[in-house]
Amino acid sequence: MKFTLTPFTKKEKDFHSTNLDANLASNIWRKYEKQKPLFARPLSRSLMRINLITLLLGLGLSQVDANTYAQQISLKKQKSSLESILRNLEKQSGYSFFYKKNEINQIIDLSAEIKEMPFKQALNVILSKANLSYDFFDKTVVVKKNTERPKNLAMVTSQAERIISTMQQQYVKGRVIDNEGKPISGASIRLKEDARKGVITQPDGSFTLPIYSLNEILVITSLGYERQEIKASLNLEKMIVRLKKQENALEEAVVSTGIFKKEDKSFTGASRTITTKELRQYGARNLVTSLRNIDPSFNIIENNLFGNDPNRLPEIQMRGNSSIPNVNEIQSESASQLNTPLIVLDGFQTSLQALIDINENDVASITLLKDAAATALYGSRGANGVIVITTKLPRPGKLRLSFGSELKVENADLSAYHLLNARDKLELERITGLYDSPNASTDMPNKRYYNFLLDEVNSGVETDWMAIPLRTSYALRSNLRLEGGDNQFRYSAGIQNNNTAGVMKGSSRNTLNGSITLSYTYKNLIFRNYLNINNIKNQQSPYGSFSDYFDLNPYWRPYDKDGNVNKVLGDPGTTDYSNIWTTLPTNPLYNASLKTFDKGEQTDITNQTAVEWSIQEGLRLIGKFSFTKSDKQSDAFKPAEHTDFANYTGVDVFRKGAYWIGLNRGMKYEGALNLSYSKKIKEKHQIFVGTEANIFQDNTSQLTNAAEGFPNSDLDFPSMALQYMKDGKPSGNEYYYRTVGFVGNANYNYNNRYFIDGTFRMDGSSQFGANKRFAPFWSAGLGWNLHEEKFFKKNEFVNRLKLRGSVGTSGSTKFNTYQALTTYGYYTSDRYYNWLGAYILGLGNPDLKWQQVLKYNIGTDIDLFDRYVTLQANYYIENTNDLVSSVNTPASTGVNYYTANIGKLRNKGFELYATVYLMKKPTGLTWSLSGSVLHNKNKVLETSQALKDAQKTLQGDLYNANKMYIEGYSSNAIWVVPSLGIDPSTGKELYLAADGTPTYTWGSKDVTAVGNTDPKVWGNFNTMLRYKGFTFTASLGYRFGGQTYNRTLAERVETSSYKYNVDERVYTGRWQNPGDYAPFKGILNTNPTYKTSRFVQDENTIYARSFNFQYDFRYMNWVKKIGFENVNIGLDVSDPFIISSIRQERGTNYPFSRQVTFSLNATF
Amino acid sequence: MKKHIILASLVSSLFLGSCNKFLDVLPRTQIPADKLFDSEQGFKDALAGVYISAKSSASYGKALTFGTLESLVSSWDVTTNTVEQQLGLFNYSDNRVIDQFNAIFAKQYATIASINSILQNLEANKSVFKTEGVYQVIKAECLGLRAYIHFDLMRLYGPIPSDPSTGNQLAYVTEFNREIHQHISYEEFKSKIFTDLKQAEELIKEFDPMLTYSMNDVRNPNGFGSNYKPLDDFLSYRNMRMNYYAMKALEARASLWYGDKDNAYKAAKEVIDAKDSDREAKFKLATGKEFTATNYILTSEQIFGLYAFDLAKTYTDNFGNATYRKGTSATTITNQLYGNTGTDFRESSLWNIVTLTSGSKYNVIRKFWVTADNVTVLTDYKQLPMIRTSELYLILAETAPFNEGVEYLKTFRTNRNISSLTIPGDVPTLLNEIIKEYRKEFYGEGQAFYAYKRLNIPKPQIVFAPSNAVVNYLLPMPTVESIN
Repeated sequence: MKFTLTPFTKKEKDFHSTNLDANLASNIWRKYEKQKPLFARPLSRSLMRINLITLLLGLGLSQVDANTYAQQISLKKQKSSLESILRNLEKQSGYSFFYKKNEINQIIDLSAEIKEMPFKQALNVILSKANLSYDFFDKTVVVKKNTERPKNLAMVTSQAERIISTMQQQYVKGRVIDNEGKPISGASIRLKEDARKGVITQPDGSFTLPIYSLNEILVITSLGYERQEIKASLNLEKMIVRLKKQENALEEAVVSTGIFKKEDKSFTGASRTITTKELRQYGARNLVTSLRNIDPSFNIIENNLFGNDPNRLPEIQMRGNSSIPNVNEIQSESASQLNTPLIVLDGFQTSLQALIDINENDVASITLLKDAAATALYGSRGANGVIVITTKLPRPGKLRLSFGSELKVENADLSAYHLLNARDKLELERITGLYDSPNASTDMPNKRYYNFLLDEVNSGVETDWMAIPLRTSYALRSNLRLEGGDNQFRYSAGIQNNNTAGVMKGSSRNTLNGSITLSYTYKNLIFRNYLNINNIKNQQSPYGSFSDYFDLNPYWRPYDKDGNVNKVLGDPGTTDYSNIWTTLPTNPLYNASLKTFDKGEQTDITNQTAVEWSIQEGLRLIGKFSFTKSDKQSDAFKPAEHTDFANYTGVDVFRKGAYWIGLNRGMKYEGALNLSYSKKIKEKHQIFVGTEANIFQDNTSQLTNAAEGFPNSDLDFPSMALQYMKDGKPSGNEYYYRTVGFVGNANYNYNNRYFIDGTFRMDGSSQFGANKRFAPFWSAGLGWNLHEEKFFKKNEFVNRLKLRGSVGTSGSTKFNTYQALTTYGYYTSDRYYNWLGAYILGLGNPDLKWQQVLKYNIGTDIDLFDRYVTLQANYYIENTNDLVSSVNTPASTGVNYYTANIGKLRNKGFELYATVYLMKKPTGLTWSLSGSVLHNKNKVLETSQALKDAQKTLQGDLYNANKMYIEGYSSNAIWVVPSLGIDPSTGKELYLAADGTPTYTWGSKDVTAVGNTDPKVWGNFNTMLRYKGFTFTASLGYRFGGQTYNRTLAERVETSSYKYNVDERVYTGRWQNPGDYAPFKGILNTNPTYKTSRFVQDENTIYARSFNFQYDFRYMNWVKKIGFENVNIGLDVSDPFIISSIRQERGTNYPFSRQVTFSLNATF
Repeated sequence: MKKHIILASLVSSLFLGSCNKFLDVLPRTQIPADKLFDSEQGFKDALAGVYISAKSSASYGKALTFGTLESLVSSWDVTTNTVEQQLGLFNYSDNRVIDQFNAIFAKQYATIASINSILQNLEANKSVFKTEGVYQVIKAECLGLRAYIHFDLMRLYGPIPSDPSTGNQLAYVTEFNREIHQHISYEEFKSKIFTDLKQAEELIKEFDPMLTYSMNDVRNPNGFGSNYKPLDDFLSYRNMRMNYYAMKALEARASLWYGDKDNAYKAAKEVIDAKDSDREAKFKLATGKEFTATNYILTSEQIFGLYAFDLAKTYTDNFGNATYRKGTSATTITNQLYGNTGTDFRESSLWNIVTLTSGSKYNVIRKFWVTADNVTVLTDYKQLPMIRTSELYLILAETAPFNEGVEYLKTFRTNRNISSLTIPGDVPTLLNEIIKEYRKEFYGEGQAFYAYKRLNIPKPQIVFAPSNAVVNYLLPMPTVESIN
C-alpha cells in the first residue's frame, strides 16, 4: 500500500509515471498552484541526467523539397554567438533549428558575412566553422556535432534504422490522461516559445511532438482541464502528462448525454452536470434528495401522506407535468409515475429505484437533461426529461482502497402536530355534550363513563400516542472500494451496505450492493464491463399507519397494570360506554404486538458491457449491451388473532389468519451500436456526427397469491394455510414490450463562435399498432459564444457569454399498452358450460399516435469577473400535443370509450441559477453563494369529453379537493366551492354559488378553481464556506406564491365527532356564540365539512434542506505518515426545520424526519 | 453507384422488416383481435365469451330475469326508498333506477359489439374454418343472438307496439367500430330483426344437430344412450345455444310483439310440432315429474337457456338470503298469484319458506334453486330460461283461431295441473287468462313486464302493483347513450 510520494528525488530509472499520477490526483488543490508549474524544477533536474539522444523517426520524412533550400539568405554578424546567428537564420528562412544547447553555447565568437546565398550553402558556411553538421527534417534543421553518432535506437523499425544514419530528429512521445487515467483526446501540446508548433493528441491520448531543444517547455491544454506546463522529457518511457480537471469548469466542459458526449462549448441544450463531491456536500439522505438540493428543477413532489417512509418511491418531475392520467387512471397510483423522468445509467435505461439504491461511491457524475436538444436523443422516452448517471472508471495505479462509513440518526419531525392534552380533550367532549342525553336511562351511564375517564385523567393518564410507534432510529451505511491496474487493464470493485431504518418502529430498508468494473485497452480497442448486484430487504412497520395513532385520546391507557397491551381502549369494565361506542375502539398496538409482518426481498443483477473501437482519429464505434434481471418476493402475514378477523364466526373461524405472497420478475435487455465522428477542419470548423441504433426489451410480471386459515401464529409459512383465500384467485399482471430506435445527431461549430446542432430519432415500439409503429422525433439548436467574438474579447469582465436556443420533440410512452389495437382477454373466473370465453378488452384505435411534447428553450451561460460570478438562465415552453386520452362513446358502440390523441397541455417557465464567489483564495478562505429561482406555469389546453365526464365524480366529491384536469386551468389547481366564511350569527358556513349569490347549501356545480398548488417561484439558496480542509455547506429550499388545501383544518379541526383527539384549534378557532367571528364552523355543528376555499391557504415555505460540515485531513502530515492518502470526516443535518405560512399536519401515514449523519471516508 | 443504392435500400428494407418482426411481441394477459381470430378455436372462444357476457348479472344473469325487470312489476317485497321500490313505482328519474337501466343498456350493446366483432372477422378469416358446419353455426348463432338482444332492447326501451310513434328509437348495430350508430325507426328496426333471423335460420338449418337429434341426445354427446356422436363437442349442447328452434321461437315471440299473428302462429307451431326420430314431440310441456325431480327451472322446456355454472351461488346470494322474497308466508302468493287452486304445480312446488339466522322467515321462490355439484348431464339444471315451450303454447293460444287457441290453453293448464279452471268463452277472456298465465308462468323470468307492455295493460291488472304506482311502459333514453 505504500508508495513513493516524492519521485523526483529518485533516479530516472525509478521514475514511474504512476507515482506521479497518484500524487497529482490526490491533490485537489492543484488548480490553485498553476502559477508555479509542478514539474518545472524537479523534473528538469532529473531530465538533465537523461541521455539526450533519443532519436525517433517517422516514415516518409526524408522527402524534402529541394527547391526550398534555394532560399536566399543574407547575414552580417561579428563575434556573435552561434545561437543568435541560428536564430537569425530561423527568422529569415522560416526553418526551425534543433540543437543541443550545451553543444552550441560555447561558440560565442563567430563572425559571418553572407550575401544573397542559398540557405543550404549558407548553413554549410556557418556550421563548418563550428565543426558542426546538419540534417534537414521537414521544416526543421537538426544541428549536430560532426562526430556524434546516434546511441539509443530502441523502438525503431528496421526501415527507420536505415534513415537514422542520415537523419536524426528528437521527439517527445507520450500520453495525456486525466485524473482517472482516461486518455484525453484532442488535447493540444505546444511549445511555449512558439505556439505555432504543436500537435493534438490521438483518441488514446498519445502524441508525438518534434522538439528543437531540450529546454523547451511544453504547454498542454485541453478544454475543461487545467493548463499545464512541463519540460520536455526524452525518456524512453513514454512521458505521461496528467491533466487535472478544472473544478468549476467541469460541468461546462463535457455534457454526457448518455448517448454522445457533447462539448459544452458547442452544446445548444439546457443541462446541468453534478459531481459526486457536490452530491455529498448537499445532503446525506439519498441521491435523489441531494440532487433536488442542488438543482430544484429536479423536483420531488412532497407526499404529505407518506413522509419519509424509506420504502416509498418519491414522485419526481422535471419542469412540471407533461402527461395527464387517463380516465381509468385518475384515481390510481400509476398517475404519479407518469411524469417521472427517464433515468439512464451509462447509456442504458434504468429505474428510479436504481437511482435511489445505487452505491454513491460508484457515481462519477449525474447530468440532468431538460430541453429538446438534449432529450430528443431519447425520442419517445425523453418527454419528462432525462437523468444521466455516469459511473466512475477505475483509476490506474497500485491497489487503492477507499472506505466510507456513515452513521445515520433519524428522528421524527412532529412539529406540525398540535393536539389537545388529556384534560382539555375530555373537557372538549363534555362541553360539546358527548355525555349528555335527554333520556335519564342513558344519561346515567354516560355520566358514569365520563367520570371514569375523568378519574383516569386525574390519576395522571396522559398517553403520548404519537411516540408509541416511533423511535429514534440508527442506521449504518458503509462502503468499500478497491481499484487499480495499469493503463491497459484496470479494475475496481465496490461494495455498499446501506441500512435505512425509518422512524416508525420496525420499518427498514437494507440495501446490499456490489459492483465490479473492468476496463481493458488493447491497441485502439477499449473494453469495459460493469456488473452490479443489488439486494434489497425491506420491511414495513408492524405498527401500521401512523394515522392510527395520532388521533387516539390521550386519556386512554395503552397497557394494563401488568404492562400487557390492552386489546380495546377506554374499557371501564362495565357497559357504561355503550351509548358512546357501540364497540370500543381497538388498540392498534394490539395488532402490532402480534406476529404480523409485511416484508420483501429483491435482487437485481445488472451487467453492462461496452466495446469502443477508435477506427481512426475522430472516428469511434461503440457497441454496448446491458441486461437487468430482477426478482422480488413480498410476504405479508396477519395471524388469526388479528382484529381484521374479529367478525369471522361459525365455520369461518378456521379461515382466520391470512398470508399474501407476491412474486415480481423482470428481465430487461438493451443493446446499442454507436458510431461517431468528429473532425476539425482548418482550425475553424469543428464538426461532429453521431448515430446510434438501439434495441430494448422489457418483460415484467407480477403475481400475488393469498391463502387463509392459519391455526397458529408460529406456523406462518404459506403451506400451513387451510386453503387459498375464499373466492380468491391468483392476481397480477404482465407486460412485455420491445422498442427499437435510430438516432442521428450532427453538430457544426464555426471557430468556437457559432454552432448549430440537429437531432433526428426514429422510434418503434411493440406497443403500437402496425400502421403507427414508428414515430419520428427531432430537435434543432443554435448557439453563439459571444465571448469568442473579437469585439467582445477586449472586455475584461466577461469570461464567457453563451447564447443558445433549441426546439424539438420528444415523447412519452408511459401509458397503457395496446390501446391502438382491439384486444381480447380471457375470462378467468367465468365460463360457459365447458367452454372458456374471450371478451373484448377495448376498442382499438389504429390512428393512435405517440404522445409528443414540443419543447422550446432559450438560455444563456455567463461567467463574469474571472469566474467569480457564473449565471445560467433558461426560458422554456413545453407543449404536450396529442395527449393520449379517452373519448366517450354512446353505449350502443358497445364500449364505454376508446383512446385517441385529443388532449393538449402546456408548461411555461424559467430557471435562473447564479453562483457568486465572495472570496476565492486558493489556500485561504473560499466563500460562495449560489441560488436559483424557478417558475413554471402549467395549463391544460384541451381534454377529451370522456376525461371531463370521468372527473365529474371528482368534482362532486364532497370532502377531497382532488386534482382535476380542466381546460384553461393548471393541472395543479385546487377545486373547491368558494366560501364567504362562517356566518357569525349561526356558526354555519356561507358559500358563494356560481351565480354570485350567497348560500348555505354546498353544490358541486359551484366548484371552481381557487388557488394552485404550484408555487409562483421556488428554488434554493446554498452557501459554501471553505477554509483549508474545512468545508461548510448549507442548503435551503423555498417556495413562494402557491396555495395548499389544508386538510388538517378540514378534517381535524372542523371535525364533527369529538370521539378521537383533535387539533388544538378546535378549542381556539371554532365558533361558539352568536356574534363570534371565527374561522371555523360552530363547535356543536355536526354537519359534515365540505371542500371549500376556507381551507385553501397561501403557502410560503422555507425548507432547511441540509447543513453539512466536512473536514479533510489531506494536509495533515500524519495522514500520509500512517499510510493514508486522505481522510475526511463529515456531519450532515438533513431537514432540520421548516418555516411555513401554513400549519398543517405533515406525514400522516408515515411521519417526516430529521436526520443527522456522521461520516468518515478514507483512502489509502 | 446505382448498385450501391439498390444494395443499401435492400439492406435497410430487410432491416426495417426484421425490426417489425422484432416488435411483434404479445403480452401474456391479452391477445390482439386479429391474432385471436386466426384459428377456429379463437372464434369458438369469442362465441363462448358472448354467452358469458349474456349471462352476466347486468344482463340475463339477473337484471333481465329476476332483477330489474321483476322489480318493475313488483314481484318482490321492497323496503322504502330503495331502488327496487322506485322501480316498482316506475320512477324513471331516480338516479339509481337510471343507473340500472344504463347498465342493462350498456351491457346489451356490449354483447352485441362482441357479436359484431366475431361477424366482422368471420368473413375476413373464413379460411381458418376446417370443421364442417362450424362457420355456419357460429355465424348463425351470432346473427340469431344479435336479433334476440336487439329485440329485447326494443321491447324494454322502445315504444308500446300499439303506438310505435311515441317512445325511443334505437340503433340496430351491425358493425363494431368507432362510428356513432344511427337510431333508426321502429319499422326499420323490426325489419333488421327479421332479416338477421331469416339469414340465421337459413344458415343453421343444414348443420344444427337439434333438427336431427333429440334434446337429450345433443345434451349428452357421445354419451351412453345418445345417438348423437359428433367429432366436435362444439356443435353439441344445442339447448344452451342459439339453435334453430330458438330462432323460430324468437320469430314467434317477435312476430306477436309486432302484431303479425299469422307468422307468430306459424313459427310457434313449427317448434311445437317438431318431432324427434321416435315420433315424440321435440319440445314437450313439463309435468309434475319435473317439479318432483326439483327441476324447478324446467330445463326440459327450455328451447334456449343460458348455462350458468354459478347459479347455485346466484340463488344463495339473492333468494337463499331472502333479498328477493314475497311475503313472510305463502298466503300472498297462493291467493293473489295462483288463485289458491291447491293443485297448481307452481303453487305447490315453486315456493318455500326460508329461515334466516336472525330467525326471520320469508316466502322465497326456488325456481333458481339448483344443486351445485354431483350432477349428471340430465340432472344439471343450472340454466337461465331464455325462451320456453310454455311461452309458445301461450303464443299459440293467443294467435290461433279462437277454438284452437282454447285447446292450447287447455293443454297448457293440464300440464300445470290446473285443468279445473274455467274455460274462457270469448277472445277477451282468453286473452285475460293468457296474461294471467304469463305472470304465473314466468315469475322471476322477466317476461311478464313485456307481456304487460305489449298489451299496454292498465295498473289494476298488474298483479302486486303498488297503489301509488303510475304505470309507465316508456323508459327514457338511457343517459349512457345520449353522452357524446
